[in-house]
Amino acid sequence: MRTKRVFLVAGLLASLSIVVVGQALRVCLDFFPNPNHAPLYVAVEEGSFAAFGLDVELVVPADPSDPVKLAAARTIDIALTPQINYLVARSEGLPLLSIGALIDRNLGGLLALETSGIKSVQDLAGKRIGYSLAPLEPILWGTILDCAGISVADVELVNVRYATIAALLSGSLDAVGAFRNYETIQAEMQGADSVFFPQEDYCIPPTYDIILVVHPDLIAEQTDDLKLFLVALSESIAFIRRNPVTTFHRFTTALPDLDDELNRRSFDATLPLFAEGVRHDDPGVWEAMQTYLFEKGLLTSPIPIEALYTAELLP
Amino acid sequence: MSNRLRRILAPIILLAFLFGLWELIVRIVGVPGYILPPPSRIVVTFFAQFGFLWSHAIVTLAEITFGLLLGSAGGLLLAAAIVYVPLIEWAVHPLIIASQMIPVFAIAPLLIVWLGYGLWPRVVVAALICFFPVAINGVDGLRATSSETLELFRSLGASRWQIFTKLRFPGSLPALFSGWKIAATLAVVGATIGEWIGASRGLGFLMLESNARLRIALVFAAILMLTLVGLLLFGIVRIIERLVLRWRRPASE
Repeated sequence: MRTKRVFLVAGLLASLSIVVVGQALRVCLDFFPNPNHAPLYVAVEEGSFAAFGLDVELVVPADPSDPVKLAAARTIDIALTPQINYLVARSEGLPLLSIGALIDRNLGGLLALETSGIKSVQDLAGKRIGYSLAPLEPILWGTILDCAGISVADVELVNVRYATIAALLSGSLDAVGAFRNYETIQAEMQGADSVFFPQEDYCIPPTYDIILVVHPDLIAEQTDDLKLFLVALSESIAFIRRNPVTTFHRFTTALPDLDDELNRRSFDATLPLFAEGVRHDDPGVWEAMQTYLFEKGLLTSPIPIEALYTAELLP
Repeated sequence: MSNRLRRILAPIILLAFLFGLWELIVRIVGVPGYILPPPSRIVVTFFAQFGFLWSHAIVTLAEITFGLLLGSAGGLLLAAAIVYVPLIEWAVHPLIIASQMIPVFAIAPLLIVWLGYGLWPRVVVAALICFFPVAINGVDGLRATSSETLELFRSLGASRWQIFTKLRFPGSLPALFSGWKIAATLAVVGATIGEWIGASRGLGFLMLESNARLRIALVFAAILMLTLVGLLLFGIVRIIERLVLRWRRPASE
């Protein structure tokens, strides 16, 4: 009886030690949870972060411009944000540094319905275009129009926050800023004949569309944790690519609301877009994007490329 | 110092004190400018960008004004209908109260589909938010006639229309104006929220875009401009109230 009790207490203590967690890392997403974030959610579900002694918490922002502010203020540790938003934040003096990329391709472009008579970008003259993410979207779509020879003054740009697809399908808007791995699929599923103009085809330099940024002090304080985080994330990306069906299941276990056809198709469309090895260290990409934003008046003064990102934590 | 001078100086001194406190705290604690800028920077931005802010303010002011007029008219009509038709009261009164619980963002996509992206969705949002105090106060006001005076009118053979125009409606004015003052401030909020649904101009739109561009001082400058616009509107309503209610004094005086 006594031995039994000893074992019981030992067992309880052992189980308690499993509950004791590792180093906390708060990661703020760039937007509502969506398939772009699959590597993070899958890694949490698989216990990959925990295996490295990391307790990763995923936070959803109230507003897409919050992540960089929260990271700079050290309220959260790692922020996900588009490269363009990050460059704007750096230009405004926020203390941040990019440590890796989640998605190293372009996601964006303009989506229009063929039924509204739009077959090429030139047809957008005199039309209304909706967007949800300032400041990057108005600049991007303005560039696309410019590249096709249309003046921005000929087009009405409306900030519609999140109601883009519904407005497009109902005809209230003629075109919307869209992600090639989400809204395009949404339109297709609604049976609409849509046409997508990818941003890189219209004078916009390539970009890392979701990067990871931190306050520079955090790098010094938690170097190993951040390195392990990036290793786990990189392995998660590789794992997802090898096992899309199982990992989609993991993803929807973590986010049951996203268990539908749209997200399944979006998930598949996103697989080739994740950054191999979470790499973000092509100086040419940073140089070209900074020059582009500076010319468009979005940056007050250019920052030396070496000061924008670090490759020291990459796996 | 005369009482009048005291009444004007008191809020100004309080405001100056609060702003001074804000400035001090931000500078001593070192709050980053992209979270909360010091009031000095906000005021500088306000004056530096005044023309720009005003060009957006005009748009929002138009939305607020039309929204207030539409909401007030709707509220008044509804109040009269409720008072005169019991069936309407039973059916509609609970729905009016429930309508205020619906978050505007829920009906926003509907409004956009019906009304497009011009001025009207924002006017309707402002009207929806500000009709409520006018309707509720209107009902109370229209019912607040003393039963004795009502009996007097009836015994003199007054028609329902005469009772309304000469007794009920004038008697309801103090309550109506109270509701109208609240509605004026709510219309400001309503127009701003309406702009967050979809806009290309206006102070609400400017707040969104400036926040996204991390120009937080400009966000607060826009808020300052919006506050001034709201005060202006409130002031106009008070002046109208004073003119109309010359023979009645509000309880505070």
